[in-house]
Amino acid sequence: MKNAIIVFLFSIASSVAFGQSDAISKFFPDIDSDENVTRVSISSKMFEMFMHVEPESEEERELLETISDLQGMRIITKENMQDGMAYYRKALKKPSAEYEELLSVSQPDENFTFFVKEVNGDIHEVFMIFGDSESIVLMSIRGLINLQELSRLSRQMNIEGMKYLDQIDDEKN
Amino acid sequence: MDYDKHKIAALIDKFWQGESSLKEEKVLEEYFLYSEHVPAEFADAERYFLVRRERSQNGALPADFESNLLDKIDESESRGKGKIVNLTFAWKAAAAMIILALTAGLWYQLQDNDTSGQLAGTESTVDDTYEDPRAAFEATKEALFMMSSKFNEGSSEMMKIKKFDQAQNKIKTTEK
Repeated sequence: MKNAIIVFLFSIASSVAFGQSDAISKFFPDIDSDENVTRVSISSKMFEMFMHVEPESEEERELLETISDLQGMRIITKENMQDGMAYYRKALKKPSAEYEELLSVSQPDENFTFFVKEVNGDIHEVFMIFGDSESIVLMSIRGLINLQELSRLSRQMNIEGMKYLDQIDDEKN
Repeated sequence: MDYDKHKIAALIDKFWQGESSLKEEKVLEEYFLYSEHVPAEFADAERYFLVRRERSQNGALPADFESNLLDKIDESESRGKGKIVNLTFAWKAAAAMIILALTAGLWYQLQDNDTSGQLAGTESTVDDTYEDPRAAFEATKEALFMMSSKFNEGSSEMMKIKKFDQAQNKIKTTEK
Protein backbone atom coordinates (compact mmCIF):
# COMPACT_ATOMS: atom_id res chain seq x y z
CA MET A 1 0.00 0.00 0.00
CA LYS A 2 2.85 2.34 0.91
CA ASN A 3 4.51 1.54 -2.41
CA ALA A 4 1.28 2.32 -4.21
CA ILE A 5 1.11 5.72 -2.52
CA ILE A 6 4.74 6.49 -3.38
CA VAL A 7 4.15 5.54 -7.02
CA PHE A 8 1.02 7.69 -7.09
CA LEU A 9 2.83 10.69 -5.62
CA PHE A 10 5.71 10.24 -8.05
CA SER A 11 3.28 10.20 -10.95
CA ILE A 12 1.54 13.35 -9.75
CA ALA A 13 4.84 15.11 -9.14
CA SER A 14 6.07 14.03 -12.56
CA SER A 15 3.00 15.22 -14.37
CA VAL A 16 3.12 18.53 -12.51
CA ALA A 17 6.80 18.90 -13.31
CA PHE A 18 6.25 17.89 -16.90
CA GLY A 19 3.41 20.38 -17.28
CA GLN A 20 5.67 23.28 -16.43
CA SER A 21 6.78 25.79 -19.03
CA ASP A 22 6.61 29.54 -19.07
CA ALA A 23 3.56 31.61 -19.92
CA ILE A 24 5.05 32.67 -23.26
CA SER A 25 5.40 29.12 -24.57
CA LYS A 26 2.04 28.15 -23.07
CA PHE A 27 -0.16 30.94 -24.33
CA PHE A 28 1.74 32.66 -27.12
CA PRO A 29 3.08 29.92 -29.40
CA ASP A 30 2.48 32.22 -32.38
CA ILE A 31 4.77 35.00 -31.19
CA ASP A 32 7.13 32.44 -29.60
CA SER A 33 7.82 30.90 -33.00
CA ASP A 34 7.77 34.24 -34.87
CA GLU A 35 11.11 34.96 -36.54
CA ASN A 36 10.58 38.72 -36.62
CA VAL A 37 10.90 39.26 -32.92
CA THR A 38 13.72 40.21 -30.58
CA ARG A 39 14.40 37.61 -27.95
CA VAL A 40 16.36 37.59 -24.76
CA SER A 41 16.65 34.25 -23.00
CA ILE A 42 18.54 33.58 -19.82
CA SER A 43 18.60 29.93 -18.81
CA SER A 44 18.79 28.43 -15.35
CA LYS A 45 22.37 27.43 -16.12
CA MET A 46 23.24 31.02 -16.88
CA PHE A 47 21.60 32.11 -13.63
CA GLU A 48 23.85 29.58 -11.90
CA MET A 49 26.86 31.08 -13.66
CA PHE A 50 25.99 34.48 -12.25
CA MET A 51 27.55 33.15 -9.06
CA HIS A 52 30.89 33.69 -10.73
CA VAL A 53 30.13 37.25 -11.83
CA GLU A 54 32.19 39.70 -9.83
CA PRO A 55 29.90 42.49 -8.59
CA GLU A 56 31.13 45.95 -9.54
CA SER A 57 29.12 47.75 -6.90
CA GLU A 58 27.13 47.16 -3.74
CA GLU A 59 23.99 47.49 -5.83
CA GLU A 60 25.11 44.67 -8.11
CA ARG A 61 26.04 42.50 -5.18
CA GLU A 62 22.52 42.89 -3.76
CA LEU A 63 21.01 42.24 -7.16
CA LEU A 64 23.00 39.02 -7.56
CA GLU A 65 21.73 37.92 -4.18
CA THR A 66 18.16 38.82 -5.09
CA ILE A 67 18.18 36.85 -8.32
CA SER A 68 19.91 33.78 -6.89
CA ASP A 69 16.57 31.94 -6.70
CA LEU A 70 15.58 32.72 -10.29
CA GLN A 71 15.55 29.88 -12.77
CA GLY A 72 14.93 31.58 -16.04
CA MET A 73 13.96 34.72 -17.85
CA ARG A 74 12.56 35.35 -21.29
CA ILE A 75 11.67 38.51 -23.10
CA ILE A 76 10.10 38.66 -26.52
CA THR A 77 9.64 42.01 -28.20
CA LYS A 78 7.72 42.45 -31.42
CA GLU A 79 7.97 45.87 -32.98
CA ASN A 80 6.59 47.67 -36.03
CA MET A 81 3.16 46.16 -35.49
CA GLN A 82 0.11 47.46 -37.31
CA ASP A 83 -1.99 47.50 -34.18
CA GLY A 84 -0.11 46.63 -31.03
CA MET A 85 -3.00 47.63 -28.79
CA ALA A 86 -5.37 45.16 -30.46
CA TYR A 87 -2.85 42.36 -29.94
CA TYR A 88 -2.42 43.48 -26.34
CA ARG A 89 -6.17 43.31 -25.67
CA LYS A 90 -6.34 39.82 -27.16
CA ALA A 91 -3.23 38.75 -25.28
CA LEU A 92 -4.79 39.66 -21.93
CA LYS A 93 -7.42 36.96 -22.39
CA LYS A 94 -4.93 34.18 -23.04
CA PRO A 95 -3.38 33.35 -19.65
CA SER A 96 -5.31 30.58 -17.90
CA ALA A 97 -6.71 30.74 -14.37
CA GLU A 98 -3.44 29.54 -12.83
CA TYR A 99 -2.04 32.96 -13.76
CA GLU A 100 -3.63 35.53 -11.52
CA GLU A 101 -3.77 39.12 -12.67
CA LEU A 102 -1.79 41.15 -10.17
CA LEU A 103 -2.06 44.65 -11.55
CA SER A 104 -2.92 46.35 -14.77
CA VAL A 105 -2.25 49.86 -16.04
CA SER A 106 -3.99 51.44 -19.00
CA GLN A 107 -2.65 54.72 -20.27
CA PRO A 108 -3.27 56.52 -23.56
CA ASP A 109 0.15 55.61 -24.93
CA GLU A 110 0.93 52.32 -23.21
CA ASN A 111 -0.65 49.45 -21.32
CA PHE A 112 0.78 46.72 -19.21
CA THR A 113 -0.49 43.91 -17.03
CA PHE A 114 1.28 41.73 -14.51
CA PHE A 115 0.28 38.13 -13.86
CA VAL A 116 1.65 35.87 -11.16
CA LYS A 117 1.63 32.13 -10.89
CA GLU A 118 1.44 30.96 -7.32
CA VAL A 119 2.18 27.46 -6.06
CA ASN A 120 1.44 26.80 -2.40
CA GLY A 121 1.65 30.48 -1.56
CA ASP A 122 4.99 31.01 -3.32
CA ILE A 123 5.25 33.01 -6.52
CA HIS A 124 6.90 30.84 -9.16
CA GLU A 125 6.49 33.05 -12.18
CA VAL A 126 5.88 36.72 -12.90
CA PHE A 127 4.60 37.37 -16.36
CA MET A 128 4.19 40.82 -17.87
CA ILE A 129 2.45 41.84 -21.07
CA PHE A 130 3.28 45.29 -22.33
CA GLY A 131 1.66 46.86 -25.34
CA ASP A 132 1.57 50.18 -27.16
CA SER A 133 0.37 51.22 -30.59
CA GLU A 134 3.15 49.49 -32.50
CA SER A 135 4.82 46.99 -30.23
CA ILE A 136 4.22 44.22 -27.78
CA VAL A 137 6.57 42.91 -25.08
CA LEU A 138 6.12 39.61 -23.29
CA MET A 139 8.34 39.06 -20.30
CA SER A 140 8.50 36.11 -17.97
CA ILE A 141 10.75 35.47 -14.98
CA ARG A 142 10.67 32.09 -13.30
CA GLY A 143 11.88 30.70 -10.03
CA LEU A 144 11.11 31.69 -6.47
CA ILE A 145 10.16 35.33 -6.71
CA ASN A 146 9.68 37.80 -3.90
CA LEU A 147 7.59 40.74 -5.07
CA GLN A 148 9.07 43.00 -2.42
CA GLU A 149 12.52 42.21 -3.77
CA LEU A 150 11.31 42.90 -7.29
CA SER A 151 9.95 46.22 -6.13
CA ARG A 152 13.15 47.06 -4.30
CA LEU A 153 15.22 46.75 -7.48
CA SER A 154 13.85 49.92 -8.96
CA ARG A 155 13.55 51.52 -5.56
CA GLN A 156 17.32 51.46 -5.51
CA MET A 157 17.17 53.49 -8.69
CA ASN A 158 14.83 56.01 -7.05
CA ILE A 159 11.88 55.22 -9.21
CA GLU A 160 8.80 57.05 -8.12
CA GLY A 161 5.69 55.43 -6.82
CA MET A 162 7.27 52.71 -4.73
CA LYS A 163 6.30 54.11 -1.37
CA TYR A 164 2.97 52.26 -1.60
CA LEU A 165 4.55 49.00 -2.60
CA ASP A 166 5.01 47.42 0.75
CA GLN A 167 1.31 47.72 1.40
CA ILE A 168 0.45 46.09 -1.92
CA ASP A 169 3.02 43.36 -1.35
CA ASP A 170 1.76 42.68 2.12
CA GLU A 171 -1.72 42.23 0.71
CA LYS A 172 -0.41 39.94 -2.00
CA ASN A 173 1.97 37.89 0.12
CA MET B 1 0.47 -78.39 20.90
CA ASP B 2 2.74 -79.98 23.39
CA TYR B 3 5.68 -78.16 24.70
CA ASP B 4 8.66 -79.57 26.46
CA LYS B 5 8.64 -77.86 29.85
CA HIS B 6 12.43 -78.03 30.12
CA LYS B 7 12.90 -76.66 26.67
CA ILE B 8 10.53 -73.79 27.51
CA ALA B 9 12.37 -73.14 30.76
CA ALA B 10 15.65 -73.02 28.84
CA LEU B 11 14.18 -70.60 26.28
CA ILE B 12 12.80 -68.38 29.04
CA ASP B 13 16.23 -68.25 30.68
CA LYS B 14 17.79 -67.46 27.34
CA PHE B 15 15.17 -64.75 26.82
CA TRP B 16 15.78 -63.11 30.19
CA GLN B 17 19.46 -63.13 29.45
CA GLY B 18 18.80 -61.41 26.19
CA GLU B 19 20.21 -64.20 24.11
CA SER B 20 17.06 -65.53 22.48
CA SER B 21 16.40 -65.22 18.79
CA LEU B 22 13.21 -63.77 17.33
CA LYS B 23 12.18 -67.28 16.33
CA GLU B 24 12.64 -68.53 19.92
CA GLU B 25 10.66 -65.59 21.25
CA LYS B 26 7.91 -66.43 18.82
CA VAL B 27 7.89 -70.00 20.20
CA LEU B 28 7.59 -68.65 23.75
CA GLU B 29 4.84 -66.28 22.76
CA GLU B 30 2.83 -69.09 21.16
CA TYR B 31 3.45 -71.27 24.15
CA PHE B 32 1.99 -68.77 26.61
CA LEU B 33 -0.84 -68.00 24.26
CA TYR B 34 -2.00 -71.48 23.58
CA SER B 35 -0.96 -73.51 26.65
CA GLU B 36 -3.77 -74.17 29.01
CA HIS B 37 -1.60 -74.91 32.00
CA VAL B 38 1.39 -72.77 32.40
CA PRO B 39 3.54 -73.72 35.38
CA ALA B 40 3.61 -71.10 38.16
CA GLU B 41 7.37 -70.65 37.74
CA PHE B 42 6.76 -69.28 34.25
CA ALA B 43 4.17 -66.75 35.55
CA ASP B 44 6.45 -63.71 35.09
CA ALA B 45 7.39 -64.69 31.60
CA GLU B 46 3.78 -65.50 30.77
CA ARG B 47 2.61 -62.08 31.97
CA TYR B 48 5.33 -60.42 30.01
CA PHE B 49 4.62 -62.21 26.76
CA LEU B 50 0.84 -61.79 27.00
CA VAL B 51 1.13 -58.09 27.73
CA ARG B 52 3.61 -57.71 24.90
CA ARG B 53 1.26 -59.45 22.50
CA GLU B 54 -1.69 -57.38 23.67
CA ARG B 55 0.25 -54.16 23.16
CA SER B 56 1.45 -55.18 19.76
CA GLN B 57 -2.14 -55.98 18.74
CA ASN B 58 -3.47 -52.71 20.12
CA GLY B 59 -0.60 -50.92 18.52
CA ALA B 60 -1.34 -52.47 15.15
CA LEU B 61 -2.21 -49.99 12.48
CA PRO B 62 -5.86 -49.81 11.50
CA ALA B 63 -6.71 -51.06 8.03
CA ASP B 64 -7.42 -47.57 6.68
CA PHE B 65 -4.28 -46.12 8.27
CA GLU B 66 -2.38 -45.85 5.03
CA SER B 67 -5.17 -44.27 3.03
CA ASN B 68 -5.89 -41.82 5.87
CA LEU B 69 -2.23 -40.93 6.08
CA LEU B 70 -2.01 -40.37 2.32
CA ASP B 71 -5.15 -38.23 2.46
CA LYS B 72 -3.63 -36.14 5.20
CA ILE B 73 -0.40 -35.75 3.26
CA ASP B 74 -2.32 -34.67 0.17
CA GLU B 75 -4.34 -32.24 2.23
CA SER B 76 -1.27 -30.76 3.84
CA GLU B 77 0.49 -30.54 0.47
CA SER B 78 -2.41 -28.71 -1.11
CA ARG B 79 -2.50 -26.30 1.83
CA GLY B 80 1.23 -25.82 1.45
CA LYS B 81 0.91 -25.17 -2.27
CA GLY B 82 -1.74 -22.52 -1.62
CA LYS B 83 0.57 -20.66 0.70
CA ILE B 84 3.44 -20.79 -1.78
CA VAL B 85 1.23 -19.39 -4.52
CA ASN B 86 0.15 -16.51 -2.29
CA LEU B 87 3.68 -15.77 -1.27
CA THR B 88 4.86 -15.81 -4.87
CA PHE B 89 2.07 -13.42 -5.80
CA ALA B 90 3.00 -11.11 -2.93
CA TRP B 91 6.62 -11.09 -4.05
CA LYS B 92 5.64 -10.38 -7.63
CA ALA B 93 3.41 -7.52 -6.51
CA ALA B 94 6.14 -6.08 -4.32
CA ALA B 95 8.68 -6.40 -7.13
CA ALA B 96 6.29 -4.73 -9.57
CA MET B 97 5.74 -1.88 -7.11
CA ILE B 98 9.47 -1.38 -6.65
CA ILE B 99 10.05 -1.39 -10.42
CA LEU B 100 7.19 1.08 -10.89
CA ALA B 101 8.54 3.32 -8.14
CA LEU B 102 12.05 3.23 -9.62
CA THR B 103 10.72 3.92 -13.13
CA ALA B 104 8.56 6.77 -11.87
CA GLY B 105 11.49 8.14 -9.90
CA LEU B 106 13.78 7.99 -12.91
CA TRP B 107 11.12 9.54 -15.11
CA TYR B 108 10.57 12.26 -12.52
CA GLN B 109 14.30 13.02 -12.44
CA LEU B 110 14.50 13.16 -16.22
CA GLN B 111 11.44 15.39 -16.41
CA ASP B 112 12.83 17.55 -13.64
CA ASN B 113 16.04 18.10 -15.61
CA ASP B 114 13.94 18.81 -18.65
CA THR B 115 11.80 21.22 -16.68
CA SER B 116 14.72 23.25 -15.41
CA GLY B 117 15.48 23.83 -19.05
CA GLN B 118 11.89 24.81 -19.63
CA LEU B 119 11.87 26.99 -16.54
CA ALA B 120 14.53 29.08 -18.13
CA GLY B 121 12.63 29.09 -21.35
CA THR B 122 15.37 27.18 -23.04
CA GLU B 123 13.33 24.31 -24.38
CA SER B 124 15.92 22.32 -26.29
CA THR B 125 15.64 24.52 -29.39
CA VAL B 126 16.10 27.80 -27.50
CA ASP B 127 19.62 28.62 -26.48
CA ASP B 128 20.90 31.27 -24.16
CA THR B 129 21.03 34.64 -25.84
CA TYR B 130 24.36 35.38 -24.20
CA GLU B 131 27.36 33.17 -23.77
CA ASP B 132 29.20 35.55 -21.51
CA PRO B 133 27.75 35.56 -17.97
CA ARG B 134 28.62 39.24 -17.53
CA ALA B 135 26.66 40.22 -20.67
CA ALA B 136 23.77 37.98 -19.58
CA PHE B 137 23.84 39.57 -16.15
CA GLU B 138 23.76 43.08 -17.64
CA ALA B 139 20.75 42.13 -19.76
CA THR B 140 19.03 40.53 -16.78
CA LYS B 141 19.71 43.61 -14.68
CA GLU B 142 18.26 45.91 -17.31
CA ALA B 143 15.21 43.73 -17.82
CA LEU B 144 14.53 43.33 -14.12
CA PHE B 145 14.87 47.07 -13.49
CA MET B 146 12.41 47.71 -16.31
CA MET B 147 10.02 45.13 -14.89
CA SER B 148 10.48 46.46 -11.38
CA SER B 149 9.79 50.05 -12.39
CA LYS B 150 6.69 49.02 -14.30
CA PHE B 151 5.61 46.98 -11.32
CA ASN B 152 6.04 49.94 -9.00
CA GLU B 153 4.34 52.24 -11.46
CA GLY B 154 1.40 49.83 -11.58
CA SER B 155 1.36 49.46 -7.84
CA SER B 156 1.16 53.21 -7.33
CA GLU B 157 -1.67 53.39 -9.87
CA MET B 158 -3.43 50.63 -7.98
CA MET B 159 -3.01 52.54 -4.75
CA LYS B 160 -4.50 55.65 -6.34
CA ILE B 161 -7.52 53.60 -7.36
CA LYS B 162 -7.69 52.08 -3.91
CA LYS B 163 -7.58 55.50 -2.31
CA PHE B 164 -10.25 56.70 -4.72
CA ASP B 165 -12.42 53.70 -3.76
CA GLN B 166 -11.87 54.35 -0.09
CA ALA B 167 -12.79 58.01 -0.55
CA GLN B 168 -15.89 57.01 -2.50
CA ASN B 169 -16.93 54.57 0.20
CA LYS B 170 -16.41 57.27 2.77
CA ILE B 171 -18.68 59.60 0.81
CA LYS B 172 -21.30 56.87 0.49
CA THR B 173 -21.15 56.19 4.23
CA THR B 174 -21.46 59.89 4.99
CA GLU B 175 -24.44 60.18 2.64
CA LYS B 176 -26.21 57.37 4.50
